[in-house]
Amino acid sequence: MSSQTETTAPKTTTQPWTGQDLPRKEDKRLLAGQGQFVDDVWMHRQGYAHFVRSPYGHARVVSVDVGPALAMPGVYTALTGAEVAEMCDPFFQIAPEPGGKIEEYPLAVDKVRYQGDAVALVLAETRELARDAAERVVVSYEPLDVVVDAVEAADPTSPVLHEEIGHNVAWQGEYSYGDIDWALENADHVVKVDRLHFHRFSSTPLETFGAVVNWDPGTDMIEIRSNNQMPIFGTMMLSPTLRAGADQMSWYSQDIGGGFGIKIASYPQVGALALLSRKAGRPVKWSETRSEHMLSSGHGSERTFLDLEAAVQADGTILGFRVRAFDDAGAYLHYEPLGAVIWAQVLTSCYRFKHVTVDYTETLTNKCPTCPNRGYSRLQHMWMIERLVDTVAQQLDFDPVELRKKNYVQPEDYPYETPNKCVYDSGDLPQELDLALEKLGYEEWRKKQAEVNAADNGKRIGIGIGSTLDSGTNNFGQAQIVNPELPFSGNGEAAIAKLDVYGELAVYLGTTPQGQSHETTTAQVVADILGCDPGMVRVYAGFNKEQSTYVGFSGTYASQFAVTGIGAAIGAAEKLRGEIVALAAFALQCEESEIELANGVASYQGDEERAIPMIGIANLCYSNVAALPDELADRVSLNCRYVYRPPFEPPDPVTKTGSLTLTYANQIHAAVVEIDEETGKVEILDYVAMDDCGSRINPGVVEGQVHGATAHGIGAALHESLDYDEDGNLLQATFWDYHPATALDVPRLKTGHVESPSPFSKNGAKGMGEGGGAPLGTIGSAIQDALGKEVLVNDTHNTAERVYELLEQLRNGGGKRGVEVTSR
Amino acid sequence: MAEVEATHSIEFELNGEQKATVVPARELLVHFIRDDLALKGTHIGCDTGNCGACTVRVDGQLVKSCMMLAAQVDGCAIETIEAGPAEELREAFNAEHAVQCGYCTPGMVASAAYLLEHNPNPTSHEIRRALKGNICRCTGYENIVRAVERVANGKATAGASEEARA
Amino acid sequence: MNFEGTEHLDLSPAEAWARLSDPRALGEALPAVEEVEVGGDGNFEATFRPTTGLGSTPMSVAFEVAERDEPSRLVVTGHGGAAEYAVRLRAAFELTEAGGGTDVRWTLELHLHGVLRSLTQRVIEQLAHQQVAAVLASAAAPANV
Repeated sequence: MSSQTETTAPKTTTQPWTGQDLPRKEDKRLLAGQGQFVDDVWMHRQGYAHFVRSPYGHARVVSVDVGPALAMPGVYTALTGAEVAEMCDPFFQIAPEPGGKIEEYPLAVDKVRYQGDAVALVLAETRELARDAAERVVVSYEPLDVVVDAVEAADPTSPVLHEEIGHNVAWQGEYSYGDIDWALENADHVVKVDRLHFHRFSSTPLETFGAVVNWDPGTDMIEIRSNNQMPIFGTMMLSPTLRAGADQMSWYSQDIGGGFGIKIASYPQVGALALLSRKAGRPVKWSETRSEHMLSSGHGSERTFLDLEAAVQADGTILGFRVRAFDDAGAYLHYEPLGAVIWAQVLTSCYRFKHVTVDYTETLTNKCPTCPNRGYSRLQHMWMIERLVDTVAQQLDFDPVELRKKNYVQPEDYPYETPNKCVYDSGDLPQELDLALEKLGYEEWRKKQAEVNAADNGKRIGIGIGSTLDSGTNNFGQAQIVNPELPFSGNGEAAIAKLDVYGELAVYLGTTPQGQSHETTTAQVVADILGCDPGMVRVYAGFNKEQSTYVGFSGTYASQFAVTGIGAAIGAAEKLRGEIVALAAFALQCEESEIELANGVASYQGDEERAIPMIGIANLCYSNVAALPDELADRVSLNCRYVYRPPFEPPDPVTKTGSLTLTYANQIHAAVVEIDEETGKVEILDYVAMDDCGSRINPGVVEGQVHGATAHGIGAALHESLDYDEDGNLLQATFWDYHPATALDVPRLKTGHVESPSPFSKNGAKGMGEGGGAPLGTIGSAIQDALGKEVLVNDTHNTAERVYELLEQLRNGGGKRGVEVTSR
Repeated sequence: MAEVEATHSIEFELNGEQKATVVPARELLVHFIRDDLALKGTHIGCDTGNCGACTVRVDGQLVKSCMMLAAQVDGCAIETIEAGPAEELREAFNAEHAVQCGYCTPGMVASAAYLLEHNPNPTSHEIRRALKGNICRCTGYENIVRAVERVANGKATAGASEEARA
Repeated sequence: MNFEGTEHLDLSPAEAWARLSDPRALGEALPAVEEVEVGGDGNFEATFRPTTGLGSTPMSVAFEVAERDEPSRLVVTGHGGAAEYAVRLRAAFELTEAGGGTDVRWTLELHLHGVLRSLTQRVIEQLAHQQVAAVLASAAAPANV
């Protein structure tokens, strides 16, 4: 009597489902166009909302007149910043002072601080009318000077965004381990790089932000249908601001069209929509346009590194480095300044450096607020380290492969404690690098490179390597390093495993998947525990605050599902198994240890004649309870909740040390590029991506994530950038100007894997959804290899124009601008 | 009450069924499909006709439905993902794990199906060219290309076997 | 953004200056101008439609003839906007006699705000030159009442 999905192909009873390349359950509805994304949701009596946004990067808001909009037929109501400031308290700030003094509301009140900052919101009968009405709102602005560079913004004379602070430094701190001064004074070589820049880009999920929100006038419940990917965090931000209880907010999502971290940042818009709904007394529907998304959703972190100095020994041992980092948070702190500590999870990236000092400044600029974007805060730091290693190799004539192998954390070092007491769980980086190079055909390509580069026919070939980590399952206690007052620590995820009335198996998670195949991988793992077919395990699609279960950290982000979500599902399924076995033992009059679960049936040691199906088990608990002994009835419910908690202690905010993440997947990429000397255009001739994420629950799913992360990295390296002009205009506000990587831009990807199970997760798996941004280092490294040591690749984004400039530098004598080597 | 805006009467075929209705002059085809016809499988990913999430077939041609007005389909035949086109191709998408979030999928299927109808044995480069108007942010395109190749090779193999048997 | 150029007009410098410094004449020389309203003191408001590569956008700009240095130098400023864009500009003209006519050396400081800026970014330089040349030519043409 089950309405489950079709059963999957039969297998031998000895082979577990975990580890198999099972095709996905999600595909049935998605390939039929039957998914439910937020714009598919419709509420009776809804109006359509449209935001009025500032064209200025920085301006005083002198007046907002919604009168002309309200005068239009079909317009229901409008909301202004002034009204919002009356009804709300400013958002809770993660930062301590000075950043903690920022006052941000769901709409801009007396100032706009980035192009796209919303000043008003209108509601009308149709999408088109809402758009027309928004155009009629008359806003009077007084333009102010703009600052669009993080290093400039740190200067006290730059235009100030938040008068409450009086300057643009939201947070500043020094991270210091070992003794870099000693190392630099005593090392055989010091390599200095003046400036490196990690550029601003975004994963641009294909589906933009959206929500349908109803603040019910009768019950005062706020129903939020959205595609937010961290709804409990959203609740924690909105509850105090909206002056509503967290229990009043119900969030729902089913299918989400990509998130990549960006969809954590939609809580201000949801807050404004909730207020609009309450004012209008009707549900409010909003779908962000692509331009709005580019302007005002959330951008990836942008970081400038100044005065990088590395201490290197004659034998190639890199002792450590010192650097000043300036992170560009944009106009408001959304999730920042957590990024100011999150990079420390990968303090030394793949390497065994012992002496590290990072002077970190978080600045505010007149740009879209940054938010977690695939690889949040770690990509930036690891790219800088990879450039450092590459530069040391090239400038000091070390072989780039041997130099890396020498400085990598070695297989025998695990579990490896880094200078700031993070623990790298497992891995084999030297082997992974060898495999990457073998797959690439490194030796053959070196020969080809020598031929082509000597031929002087207008082409140059370069070969590059990039090594990164994907640190997964955060210890949220690291927030205390940024702000010791914050009451956050550890991590977790919740799940319910349940047998329903007729014996149907269901699992509910606190996660919000945006393509990560949770329904399939969870079913595989649960099927193994309960001895059934994954087709018989219904994993609830999406997030539902009423029906699912959750903890403060619930959501899907930060490369942790394989550990936390699956960990919770395992715990819940094991609890359920225990209850099923107990009931079966009672029904079959035997010991619990003699019960076997297979093919959806509980039997006495596999005896088909002495067995009870799940429907019978459920019956005993739901409807046929008289026969059950009290002690059994008291402890079974067939509705088992489990919260997975990774083992963490709060870090030390004074020394800034502690275990910050539980698992460390790693990535080693290798690439061959060809540069056209006339145009600077870079073409990828060959690309290998190696990945080690421990035990793989579904290898096909893992490989798909590797492809996707690699495509994002290649897109950013060669095609995608978010730049602001001197007036604070975003120059890539549409897909005309922002070029997301297409099928022609991403080459055929060769992948491979190493499997180093994590000793720290329930199943040996490691989160890996973000990847480490290896393509950025790899392609930069390949371009550098093609150009030689007289010029420096110092930016993550290398368009034809930039490479052409480097070629011109070369043609004009090189000069090694930006790099300095001193040797004893 | 809303101002009366210009409207047009249209007659068209939708996934094989004849339909007739009245549409506002400025309504985009993609909004007409999603909101008025309540077919949610066609998606919106941008506002400049670049992403391909809204791709449908109009009179057999691939069209970005955000770049067409509803009024323009008078006398045309529209096919959306809800018609269940290209079953073998969709099975290949499932087998090759070519779907992650699913948002680009209906548009991607439309473009890939069109390619295979016109070029049953495309090279890998031809596949990528045909799909360059469909942005995907999840899969990196690798498995999508594999899915199309799987169908192309399957047909090629089948054709060769039939010839051999003849 | 800063642009500059030189256009030659078949008018004497005195005539050229007279046309360019007259708010109504200058207003009506704007591209695809729809409406010009002249205030006092050299101010005027104009609604016009500069064409970009992707069509045309109606703009409502309040202009002021800010500096007059008869007969050789003129500065016009302007600001305007609608919901989704804003524009501020400062155009300076220097007129010198040349070959029987007038060489007008112009500089334009332009601040564009809004998505319009990103959409026009590849053509803005060409566009600025085209628009200024069109305005100057139009101002120099015989009056069309």
